[in-house]
Amino acid sequence: MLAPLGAIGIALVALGLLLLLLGADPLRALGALMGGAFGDRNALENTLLRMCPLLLVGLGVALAFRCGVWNIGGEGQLYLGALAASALATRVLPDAPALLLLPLVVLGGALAGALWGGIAAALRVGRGVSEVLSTILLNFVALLLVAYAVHGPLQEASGAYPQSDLFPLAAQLGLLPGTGRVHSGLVLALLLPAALWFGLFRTAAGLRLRAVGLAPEAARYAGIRPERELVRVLLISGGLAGLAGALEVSGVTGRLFENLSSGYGFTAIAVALLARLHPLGVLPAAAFFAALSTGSGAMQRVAAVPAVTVQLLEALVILISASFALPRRTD
Amino acid sequence: MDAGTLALLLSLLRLTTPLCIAAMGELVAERAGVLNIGIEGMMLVGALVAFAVGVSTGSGLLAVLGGISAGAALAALFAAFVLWRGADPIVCGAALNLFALGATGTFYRVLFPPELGHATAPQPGALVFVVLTGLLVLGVGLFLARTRLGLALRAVGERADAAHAQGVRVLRIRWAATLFGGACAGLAGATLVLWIADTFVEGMTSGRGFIALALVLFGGYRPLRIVAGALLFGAASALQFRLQARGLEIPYGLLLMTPYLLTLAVLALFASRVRPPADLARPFRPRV
Amino acid sequence: MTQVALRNVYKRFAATEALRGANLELEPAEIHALLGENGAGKSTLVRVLYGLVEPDRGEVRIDDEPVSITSPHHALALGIGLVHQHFMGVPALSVAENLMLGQHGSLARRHAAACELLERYQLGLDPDRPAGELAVAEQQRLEIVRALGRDVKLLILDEPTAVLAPSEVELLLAWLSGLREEGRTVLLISHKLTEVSSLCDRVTVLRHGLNVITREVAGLDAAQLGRFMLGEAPPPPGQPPQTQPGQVALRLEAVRAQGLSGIELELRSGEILALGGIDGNGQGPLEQVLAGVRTLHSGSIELLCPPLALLSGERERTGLVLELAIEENLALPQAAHRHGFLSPRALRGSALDMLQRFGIRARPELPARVLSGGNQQKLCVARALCGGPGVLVAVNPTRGLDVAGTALVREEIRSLTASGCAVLLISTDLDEVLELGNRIAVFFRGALLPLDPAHHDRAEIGRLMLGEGAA
Repeated sequence: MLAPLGAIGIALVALGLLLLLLGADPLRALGALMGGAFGDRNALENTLLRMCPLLLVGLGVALAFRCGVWNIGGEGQLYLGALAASALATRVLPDAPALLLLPLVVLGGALAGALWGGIAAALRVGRGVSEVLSTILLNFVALLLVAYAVHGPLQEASGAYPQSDLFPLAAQLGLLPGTGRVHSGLVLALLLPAALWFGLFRTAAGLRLRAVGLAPEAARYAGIRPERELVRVLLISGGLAGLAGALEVSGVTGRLFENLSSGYGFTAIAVALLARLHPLGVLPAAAFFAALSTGSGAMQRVAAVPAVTVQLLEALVILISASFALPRRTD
Repeated sequence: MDAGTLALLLSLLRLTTPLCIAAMGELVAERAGVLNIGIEGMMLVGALVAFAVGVSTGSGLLAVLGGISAGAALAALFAAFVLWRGADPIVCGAALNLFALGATGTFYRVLFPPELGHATAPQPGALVFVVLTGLLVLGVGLFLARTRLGLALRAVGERADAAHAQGVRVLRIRWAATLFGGACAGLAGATLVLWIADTFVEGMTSGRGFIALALVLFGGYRPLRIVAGALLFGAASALQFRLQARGLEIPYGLLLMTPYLLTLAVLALFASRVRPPADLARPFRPRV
Repeated sequence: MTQVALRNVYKRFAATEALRGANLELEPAEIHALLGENGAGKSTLVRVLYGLVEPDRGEVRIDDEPVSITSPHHALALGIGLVHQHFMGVPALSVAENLMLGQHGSLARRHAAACELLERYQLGLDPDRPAGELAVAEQQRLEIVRALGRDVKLLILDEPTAVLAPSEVELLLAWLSGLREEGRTVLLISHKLTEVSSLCDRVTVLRHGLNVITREVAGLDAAQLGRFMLGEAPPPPGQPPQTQPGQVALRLEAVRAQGLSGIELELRSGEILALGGIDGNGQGPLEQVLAGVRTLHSGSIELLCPPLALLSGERERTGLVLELAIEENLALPQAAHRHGFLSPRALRGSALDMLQRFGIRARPELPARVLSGGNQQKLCVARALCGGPGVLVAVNPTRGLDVAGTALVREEIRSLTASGCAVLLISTDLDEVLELGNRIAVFFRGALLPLDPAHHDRAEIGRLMLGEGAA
């Protein structure tokens, strides 16, 4: 528990020093940040909305890392989920019965993300390709697929902008009662940390996954097949990211376009590491980075500190977190 | 040589050269056992710094030096966390890429807002960079195979604890190799703004760093084979534009994926046949 | 350098105190033996001298000047050399390149020096061959010659004779004598008492991280040395269990794989079949084939009395997941095949039972890395035994264990046979093979040479180990 707080603390201090160097007032900047993240109802809702994809993709990344699988492809898997969801909602199934449409759209997104992760898994298990490279390359491909789709097959009927049609109402996520913009998908996302914690620490499957991540050879000799666990975890990890993408298009934007994700897939890596790869820790970590993201705009406006410093902070948090031992291989 | 062939050759060299430069740097780092996936970010900061220095001083030489220094500086940050603190290299590399993307984007917008008009960097010319690349490839090849330090470096990448036990200074060599890799990545970034294009665009590396990583693997960790791989890659990418020009019925949006799909295909074919340095990316503890 | 001294050295690794105030005083031009059983701290102590281990407390003095040796580079500069227990070369580099590493001068000069070294010591190795392709014994000889080639004033050898044939051991001892004549000092770690008494001038005995005694070897006999090492008379060697072999539990027919040229064996319930041999003749491949990790090229393996439990030879790499809890390690084999929930209470309960039975005093929720090497090995044994296996494959089950631990594990294996389990013992320890094997066979170049039951003795096994009597 000490390590994540320590990482944040050190990173904040480093950031504060940098800000002083640039001539800005660190306390004012921090105040603006907090205000932008939690100051009013609008800000809070923004933070919650950004927390959802960070939470989902972060959980997937944490699981994968724990299995010794470097899934850097969260961004691409998210986009593919958004793409599939949009295709289903606007082209393939728009006339499906209202009750089925939303679940199918969301499910389709998750499956597409899982498929994208599965490609990397197949390349690793079948052809010995490092998933680090394959997931990163697949990110580029996914982004280009979305660009192609919104300029072409999925483009809105009017052809005015490179974006998909607006989702039919039945395919849009409902809002949580009492909120202006927070979609109900968040509820699902909030349930997952506990569920995944249980799966990781109270089931045989979870023990296998952890063993493979910590000592694959010892796991193999105990009768576990690391390849199987690897494939499973990439499917789950990709599926969670795809789910995040589906929720983004059906709950936040209502349609598909490029630059839909503000780097959620990469920030999720920071989230997972800050959480020390623990499912329950991903929740506060996702909240922290969501707050940083929404607050950064205010920080720029009010304290004249460029928003990029948030990315610098993210990178510092990753670097510092990585310096403390993670529950990973120690050979 | 007629104008058409010359143009073709130049086009091929443009696509190949930055990849070669970055790959040579990463080759040295990986042969020393350091896996640096952050060269994408180092290339990007190299491009921006080369651009900024070039525009403000007008000197191509200073711009190149600026790019090299920027890449090396980021590599130093990487080395500090990975080699001193024992942090995981994949994670740190990913973090640096993240940082570089954001930092270059913002600093570019701050330093070169659109009101200032379109700035261009000095263009020293193709010959300079091609010759530089050739010397680099030759130098790295000779270094690894024929020098004392090269032997020590190879030992460190294959089995660091054994090299350490024989009195080799493992951490020093890994630091130097990492800085060299970052410097090369920065140089590759510089060639992007000083030759390939004449200006900086956010995210302009477009994954070249990762392709360079794949090329190191594809080339079996040998300099000349890596160059051959880069040339093949360049040729295939050039083909992509030719196909488009011929009016082939593949949508432009999909053609853009070619480099990445090609890299994936190459990896799929060759990854299992190549043996990386045995101690690559594994932690090293000199003294317990 | 005339004198090297280690004084009052303390070193703790996680849960174990390896050194508790150990001392070592070396004189010039002597061959000094460092004796002690497994886990006594011998390796740790010399690694302090070589800059690989940083002591928590204590000092190192060279010529009565305190010095802190921070790295092997530093040690070599001071004139200290170390021959490691296991090959410390770079497998991917050639023999010559390995010898050239860390030397001075141009590559050409180093290469010439390397070839000259190979000649001088008559190693008979091809200088351009990758060191990883050498046999284990050849690698060890290379390791020794490399150290001899350096101009060191103090040469430390950590159990150098484990994989050498008797004639090679004699050669080594002659070389070491030569060093003494040149005025250099030799520190020899061993637990082979005969080598000690024939060659060494003085001996220091370590027990549990402390010295017990330092004195001249002259006048000491093996029994006395053994008593110093253990603190008491060593237990008499055990006997193989008396049982009636039952039905065939495991059958291997014409098994061929990489490293195995045709294995035939039939193992019956209630018996111990012990497979001995020099390391590198097929033990590893057979273990991997039985673990399902190495593919068969041809032949068949029939398991007629499941389940098969494997006690693997390298507990750090293939035995335990050190970062997982002790109770989770115990549950790992079941988790491999089950789908379902793990009840924390059930896990804890069965773990506590096992820990008590094997005398491991640790809380089951702690990660396995907190255990000492000996306790880790006991944990592996516990895990292998707890499923009530029909067949147990035990590979070097007492490696690294002290005498008490060794006796415990061997007793557990014996009592397994009483309950009808079949035991396949693969061990490079000759004593263990003789002590436990109802039937014995010897590995030689990937095949098994059976031992005549009337001749279960060292001489006969020694012959088979060298391939004499092979069909």
